[in-house]
Amino acid sequence: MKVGLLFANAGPFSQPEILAHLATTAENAGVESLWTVEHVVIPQGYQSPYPYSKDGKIPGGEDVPIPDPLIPLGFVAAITKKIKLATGVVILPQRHPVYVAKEVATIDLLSGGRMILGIGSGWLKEEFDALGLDFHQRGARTDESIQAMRALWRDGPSSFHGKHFNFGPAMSYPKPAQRDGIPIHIGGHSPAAARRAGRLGDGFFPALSEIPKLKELFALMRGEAVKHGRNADTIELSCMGRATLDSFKALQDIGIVRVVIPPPGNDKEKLSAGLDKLGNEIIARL
Amino acid sequence: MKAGISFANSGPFSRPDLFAQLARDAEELGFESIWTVEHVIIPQPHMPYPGSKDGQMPGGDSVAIPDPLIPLAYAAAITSKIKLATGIVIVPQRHPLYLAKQLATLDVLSHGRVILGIGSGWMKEEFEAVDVPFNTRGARTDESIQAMRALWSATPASFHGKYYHFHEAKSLPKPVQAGGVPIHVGGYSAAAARRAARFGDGFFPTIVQPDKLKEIFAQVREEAGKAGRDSSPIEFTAMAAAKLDAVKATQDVGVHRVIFGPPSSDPMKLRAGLERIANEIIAKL
Repeated sequence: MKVGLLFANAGPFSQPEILAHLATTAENAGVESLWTVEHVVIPQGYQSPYPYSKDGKIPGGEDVPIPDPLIPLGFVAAITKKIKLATGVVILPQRHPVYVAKEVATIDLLSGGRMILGIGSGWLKEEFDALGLDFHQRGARTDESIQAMRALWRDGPSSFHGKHFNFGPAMSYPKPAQRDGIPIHIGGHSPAAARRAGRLGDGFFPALSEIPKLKELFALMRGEAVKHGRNADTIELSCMGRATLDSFKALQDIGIVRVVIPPPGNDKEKLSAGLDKLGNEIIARL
Repeated sequence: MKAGISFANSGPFSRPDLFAQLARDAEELGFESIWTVEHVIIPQPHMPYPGSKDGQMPGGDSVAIPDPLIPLAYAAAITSKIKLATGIVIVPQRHPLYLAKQLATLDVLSHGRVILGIGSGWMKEEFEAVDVPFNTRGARTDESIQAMRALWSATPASFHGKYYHFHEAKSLPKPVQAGGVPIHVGGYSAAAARRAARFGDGFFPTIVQPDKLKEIFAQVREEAGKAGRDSSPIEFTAMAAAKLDAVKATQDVGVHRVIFGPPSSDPMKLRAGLERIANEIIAKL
C-alpha cells in the first residue's frame, strides 16, 4: 500500500525551505507521493459550500496562501529522485487543456516520469465567475479536457474537436516521459466523479475516508467502467485517511491502493519527527 | 552590464540533466539570468515565423518547447542567485489570474528572482487553438499587465476591464519582490515600444542591430514622456552575438543587459562555451 501527503503546497508549504524539507524528508521516509491543492483565487465572501468540511468553508480561511499546484512540483522534481509528484486536485475545467497538457508534460520530463495528474471539476462557482467561465459547463469541459490532453500526449500531430475545445492538427512537444501519457486520477466524491473515473480515469480519489461511502462510490465507478468496456481493476483507488496502522489496513481491505494524509506538522522539527514515525511505524509495516 | 542566456528551456535543454547543468554553470560563472521561451502549441500549417528569413521556427515545428515557467521552478531549487526570466510568455493567450498566481508562486520559491518577459504573440493559429481572438491580443496584454499588478499588490483585488473582470478576489501568496514581479515587454513593433513605455519595468526588443536599437529606445523614451512616466528606470535588454565588439556596440546604445543563446548543447562543451563568454566578453565590458 502506498502513502501520500496532501496540501504539500499550501499554507506554510508555500515557503521554499519548508517545501524542500517536506519533500526530501518524505521521500526518505518512504512516502510514495506528494499532492498539491488548488484555488487560483478565493473570491471574498464566497457562498458556495466547500464540500470537504462541516462548516462549508476552506480550511485555513480565505487568506490561506494557495500557490499554483504545478510550479511547486517543478521545484520538488529538482531535489528528489523517487517520490511521485501529484495534484490533488487541479480544477481542470478552469484551465485550457493545451496548457495543462504542456505543463504536466514538462514536469513529467523534468522528473523522469513521476507525474500524476489529479483533477477535479470544481465546486466554487464564484471562482469560475472570476475567470469568466460558465460554472454549469464544468462537467462537459472536464470530460473534453481529459481527452484533449491524451491526444496531445500521443506522438505526432495532435487533434481534438469538441464542443468546448477545438484544435489541430498541431504539434505539442515535449511529450511526457511516461510513454502512455500521464495517469489521470479523478478526484471528488460525487456520483458524477465516480462515473467519470469509471469512464475516463486511470485512478479514482474520493477525498474522504468513510468505508461505507467509499464502497458505494467504488461500486458506481465499477458499473460505469463495465458499461464502457473497461476493466475496473486497472483503475487505481486512493482515498484520505488517518495516520494509524489499523485505519490503513481497513482501507486496504476494501481495495484502496493509496492513502493520502496531511503532513504531520507545519515546521521542520515536527515534520522530521512525524515523518520518521510514519515511516517506521506505518509505512514499514504495510 | 548584465548577461543572460536565452532558449534555456527548449530543444536539448528540455532535458533535465542539460538544463540543470546550464542553470548551475551559468550561475557559477557570473551570468545574471536565464531566459525561457514559449509556444504552447504549433498548429499545422501556420503563418511564417517573423524571426527567421525562411519563416521556419528554429528547430522546426516538432522542437521541444516545454512550458516556460515549470523549468524556472526546477532551476529555483538548484540555484540561489541567478535571475529566472521568461523571454517571453505569450500573455494574451493565458488568463491573468493564473499567470499572476504562477509568477507569485515562482517568486516566493526563488526568494524574489523572477523577471516576467512578455509578448503579445504573432502566430494566429496558436491563438485559435486556445480559443483567444487574435485581434484582441494587444488590448488583452495591456489589461493583463494591470490585472496582474492589482493581484500582486492588493488583497482582495479587483479589476474591471473589457476582457478580464473580477471583483474582490484573494490571490495569495504575493510575490516577494516589492511592487510585484518586474514585467519586461518583448518585441520590436511600435506597439511593443509604446507598451514598454506605458507599463514596462523593462524593454526587450528581439533585434540586434545597434542603430535599430537606438531608434526604438528613443521611441520608448518619447512615448514614456507622453504618458508622463520617467523612462530612466526602464531597463533595456537585447540579444547579441557572442563577440566583444557586438556586445560593446549594444552597450554604447544604452543596453543594460545582453542575452546570448546557449554556446553549445553538447554537455562536454557547454561549460567551456559559457566560460569563454564570461572571460572574453563579460569580464572586458
